[in-house]
Amino acid sequence: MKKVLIFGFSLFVIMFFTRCTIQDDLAKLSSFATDSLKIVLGTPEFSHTIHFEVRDAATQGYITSNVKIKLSGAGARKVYNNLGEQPADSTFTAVMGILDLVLDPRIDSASLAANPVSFNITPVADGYVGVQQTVKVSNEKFKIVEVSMINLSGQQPSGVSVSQANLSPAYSGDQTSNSVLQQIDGMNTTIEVQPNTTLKNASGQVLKGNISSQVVFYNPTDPVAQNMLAGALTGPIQLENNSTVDSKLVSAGMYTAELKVGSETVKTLNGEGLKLKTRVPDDLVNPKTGNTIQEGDIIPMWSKEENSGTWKFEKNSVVKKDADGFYLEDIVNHLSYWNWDWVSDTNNYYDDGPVITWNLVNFKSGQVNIEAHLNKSGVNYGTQYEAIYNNSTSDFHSTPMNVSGYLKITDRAPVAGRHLTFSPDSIPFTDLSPQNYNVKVTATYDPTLYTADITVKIHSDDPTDKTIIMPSTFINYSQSTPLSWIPANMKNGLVSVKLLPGTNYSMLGIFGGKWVFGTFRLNDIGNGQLQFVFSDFSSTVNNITSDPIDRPADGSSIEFTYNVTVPASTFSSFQKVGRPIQVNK
Amino acid sequence: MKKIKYLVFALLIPVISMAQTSSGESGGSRNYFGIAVGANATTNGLGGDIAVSLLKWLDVRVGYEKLEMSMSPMNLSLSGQDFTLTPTIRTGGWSAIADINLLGGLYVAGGAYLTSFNPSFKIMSANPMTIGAITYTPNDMGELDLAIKPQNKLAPYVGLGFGTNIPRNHRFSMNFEIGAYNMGSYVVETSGTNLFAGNSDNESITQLNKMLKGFSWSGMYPVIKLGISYKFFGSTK
Repeated sequence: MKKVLIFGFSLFVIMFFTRCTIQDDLAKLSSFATDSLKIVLGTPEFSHTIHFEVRDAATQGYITSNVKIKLSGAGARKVYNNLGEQPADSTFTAVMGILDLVLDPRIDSASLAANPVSFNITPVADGYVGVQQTVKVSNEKFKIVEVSMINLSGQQPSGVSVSQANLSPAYSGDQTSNSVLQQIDGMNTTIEVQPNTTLKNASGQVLKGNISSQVVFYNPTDPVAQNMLAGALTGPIQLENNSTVDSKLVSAGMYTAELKVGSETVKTLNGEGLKLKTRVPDDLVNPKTGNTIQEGDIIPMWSKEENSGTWKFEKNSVVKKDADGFYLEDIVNHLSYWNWDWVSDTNNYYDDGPVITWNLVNFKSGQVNIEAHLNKSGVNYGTQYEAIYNNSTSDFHSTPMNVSGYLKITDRAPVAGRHLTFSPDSIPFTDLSPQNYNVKVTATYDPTLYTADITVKIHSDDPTDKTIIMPSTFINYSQSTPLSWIPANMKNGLVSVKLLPGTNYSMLGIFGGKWVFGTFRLNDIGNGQLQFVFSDFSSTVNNITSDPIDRPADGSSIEFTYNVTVPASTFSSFQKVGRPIQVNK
Repeated sequence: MKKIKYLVFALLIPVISMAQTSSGESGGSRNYFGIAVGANATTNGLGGDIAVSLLKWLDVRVGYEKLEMSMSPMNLSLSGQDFTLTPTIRTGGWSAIADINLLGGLYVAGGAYLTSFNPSFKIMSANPMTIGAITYTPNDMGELDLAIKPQNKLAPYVGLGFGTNIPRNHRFSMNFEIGAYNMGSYVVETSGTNLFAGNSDNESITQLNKMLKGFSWSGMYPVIKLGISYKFFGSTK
């Protein structure tokens, strides 16, 4: 009995010293769980991002005003913004020249490789004109799409002629009674509304009055102009026999024309119609014959069906010649993109050309220019812009046969303090056939350039909100002047950037229809310490100056957490992506 | 550290007392040396040990116990969103313990556990979730894992038992033991996949762990053990 008492006393002592704190402690825990415990949620990481860069075709600078990009065609419904949203009209907005869209994550890579997703994009911005182009996504993780637009009131790119005019035809009844001519490139390129023509809008309503006309002509032998059209001339083509092929057109001259009567857009010109006429450069090579253009050569004429993005055969035009040289002219009865082109075919072009495989050393991703310098005048391939990452490949399609030259590789987006070397930096070729090339890209950095691993945690200013969002997306950063955006992959809030101390960087993050834009810099504050300053962000994001950070040892990264606090109303838009639950709310 | 003092203090009382009362009884000339194997059912799992009686009043034993049990998923509703929560109880570990035999089958045990204490909870959405226009399955969304781990895997242990881990006069014996090992503190760790991946760096969990470290009972694991031993080497007389 004595032993039992001793044992019981011992247990009592144990229980006494523990029980008395457990109740208080559990109360603290309960309070903590209610008030302070938070759940971190990411946003979906998409396998295939399509990165649009909208640039002024002449200056190559970004168009920083908002640009609407309308998607159409069969694949358009498989494309979303990075909040998983899809506007009913499939129109998205590029901000500061950038738009990131994603492919439906339910499409697996294998099926995508076998069945690429194709869609058309039509850029629209006040004061600019662009062309519809076809985008094909096969299996790229990050595809860059260059969208070039022409500043109607500014510098025009080489080989592109823009003309805006007010035409005043006379009318007899519903029809024009005289012809009115608009010069686009002097008398070298013209459009002429013919007499006895009835103008109608898309719903068939007759339009009468002064015509506001805007016409753009793209010179077929100018590399800059043709580079703008690279995407526009690739895609589905409905041939003369009504069969449709997926190919590329080789331009002999392209018009985009918009005619308006008042606010109504002219779609058809019944009767005698609209005459298009353009001079054809003497050195333009006819890919069907392999020789320069000759009088009597046949060049098909095509119009674009804008919803599907299909080029439709309209008629065969004959090359004519007068004292001033060769020219093409023909009558059209509806407005669209009009193009004199040859279809590239396997007799003259490779469907799949060379492939470059990239081996990246000392950096994760970048952008390169691949300029094709061809030894045959009149055959243009232009510059291809590629996003590269280790073991990624760059494919060339519809490359001309029997054309020698070389591919020149350069850094598309130079970063202060970073130097890319390419080995080789030039690839000579005798033929743009399907050959494989390996290019090693090595980055070296100035010692003054730091790697900063920045973790972004987005909080709501509503203290009762129990969620922290750490997004997965691409952010874009650039030295503030001049802008040269570098897409950086942010995964669960963590993004790695290279920074030069004392330099202003702009940062752009796009989340669906919202975006965050501001400036940050890394200051060297002496005594072996650095400091981040985030400033000029919109009112939705807090600006901060960080505590001093010890300068890292050589080769080490600076680690920094940017706790971004946004208004609850803004936070809710992030939560649409990252938040499956509301905890204790 | 404070709780260890409480336990030592509590346990010293019977030890001293028993030592005093047993001093006259323990002067016989029996040979207590022996080796026994034992099977145990404990709150630390099922396991076994091998025990050696070194002195009349001192046994040492090394053992291993394991408890791993996945429980049925439970439904959890948070603000209208349904989740499944699947607990897994996982504990046990290696032990090295010395028993000081007192009078009448009472013994005090002290030693250490190399614990594999690691209960966890897997949390997944119970339903698909639509983000924008895209619907994600629970697998697409990933899972949140919440695990409770020891601050120190090597945990000191004290206990008080009846019976013996090495039979003295028989081949078989039974024992009952109650005690606790102290892992320093419970440490909550979170990790996740896909949408929940960022929880490996959850500041609020860091704060929670700081709070847990301040609790006197945090890191304690109670052990209640029922064991049977078979002495296969040594005298039974």
